[in-house]
Amino acid sequence: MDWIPQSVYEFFDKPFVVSALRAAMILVLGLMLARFLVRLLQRLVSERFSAQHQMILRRSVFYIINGLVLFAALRELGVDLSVLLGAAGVLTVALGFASQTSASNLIAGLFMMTERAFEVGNFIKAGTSSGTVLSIDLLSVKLQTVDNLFIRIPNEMMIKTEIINYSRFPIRRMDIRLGVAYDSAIPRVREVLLAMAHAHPLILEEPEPVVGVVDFGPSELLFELRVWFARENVVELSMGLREAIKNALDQNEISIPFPHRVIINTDK
Amino acid sequence: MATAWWGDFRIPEGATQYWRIGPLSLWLHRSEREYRLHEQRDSDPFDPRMEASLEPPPTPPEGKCQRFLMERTFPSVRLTPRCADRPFLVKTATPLSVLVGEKATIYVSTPAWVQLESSDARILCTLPTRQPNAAWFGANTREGELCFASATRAILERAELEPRPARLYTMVFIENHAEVPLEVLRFKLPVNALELYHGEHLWTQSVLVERRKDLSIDARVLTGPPGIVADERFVSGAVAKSSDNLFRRTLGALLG
Repeated sequence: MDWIPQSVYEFFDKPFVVSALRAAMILVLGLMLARFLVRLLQRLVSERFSAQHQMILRRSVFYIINGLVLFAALRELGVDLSVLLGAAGVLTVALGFASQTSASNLIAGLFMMTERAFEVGNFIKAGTSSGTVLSIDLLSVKLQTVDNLFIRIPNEMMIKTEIINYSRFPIRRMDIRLGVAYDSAIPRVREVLLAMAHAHPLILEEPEPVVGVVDFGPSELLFELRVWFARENVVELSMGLREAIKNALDQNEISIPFPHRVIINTDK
Repeated sequence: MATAWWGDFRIPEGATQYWRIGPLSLWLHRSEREYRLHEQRDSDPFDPRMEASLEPPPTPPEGKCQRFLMERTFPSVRLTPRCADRPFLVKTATPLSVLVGEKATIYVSTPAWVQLESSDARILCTLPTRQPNAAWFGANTREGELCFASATRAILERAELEPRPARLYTMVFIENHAEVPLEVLRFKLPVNALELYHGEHLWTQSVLVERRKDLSIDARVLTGPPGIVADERFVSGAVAKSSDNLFRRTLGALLG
């Protein structure tokens, strides 16, 4: 070992260098442990929890372990943690003033996570934006729209705005208004629409479809058809139901009238 | 066999096996490295026709087609009747009322599913003989379960059951020990938790529904074959394994 210069021995003999090396080792091993535990946790909980809960659990475990590792590394370096915590208090106040928006987003994010109005994977409408929730983070919610755009909405806005969660309940109702000619027999129209609804593969038999006259239009008698469906069929049904209604009315010679206008000539 | 459309079927390479199971027609063509399955359904759910033949009618141009690829196809396939993978919400065509202290036995039929396997027990597909509409069963529209919808005439005599190759019959015993009549308008039949047997018809295990004096309802599957004819043979197991308690919870809440 004569080839190693004496100065290297002396360098590694210094207590600070030894502490720094130990701290670095704690950091590296701690981060590896955190990653390993997060992956293990993911495997263990993937079937039992929703995507939203998995994400919260993963992040909580990751941040807690990293925090502990950081504290252990700092302690190894001889940093007095009580002083650091005191300084952190002062720093927090300073940062709080400097980052009010971020802080309000953070607090709003925590409220949203406890309120659980929606979860990762749900389809929601928040204000004017709608899409599938990709993640609920501490500062913002990320959505993917149906036309494949990415939207980031700050949590502060999310907590103030009205949110519609389309994925909350397993079944949904679709109401369709349609006008038929005034000379159509109401029982016949009802019978045709109900037969179409019962024959439609995506419409639920229970709760039963309902049809009724809801208004008198200027040129047509307005009916409303209310049908229930499994929420995952929304696109297919909304595309196909109107076509099925039109076909059923055509087959039974029930017409959907054009607007009528009576023009009176007063110049006689 | 004249009475059964299921079992093992040898299909020479290049040949097409045809099955007619009530409203469902299947064409399974075997080539060296693939099975090609065509399916077509007629509208009559009670179609009594049944056929298994290696001289099929022409494959229809419409209808669904699936291909199953493998390194080398097996010379035989197995077709097995199965129960649906969801419970059925069965509505009675006319309201039934089981009077105070009375017992009733009703026969209910639901569509069969068929499972196609290669001879090394790999499942190619599971298909309904008739695709029923879905129905929601629950106390409200927030909590409940998606079922398949069915209607029943609630036949009381076994002799009235007609041979339907694509229907599974279930015997439901209803006992009303309460002091008020038991109205039965609809009930959930968890066919996915019932075993399937063959004897004269395809039978699921029977179900006993008891309404106690305190108006609570207890329901349970009667274990073993339904015991309707002497030589009942086991055909297939329950699609979903569910505990007895779970069954009681789900079925017990359903009558009404």
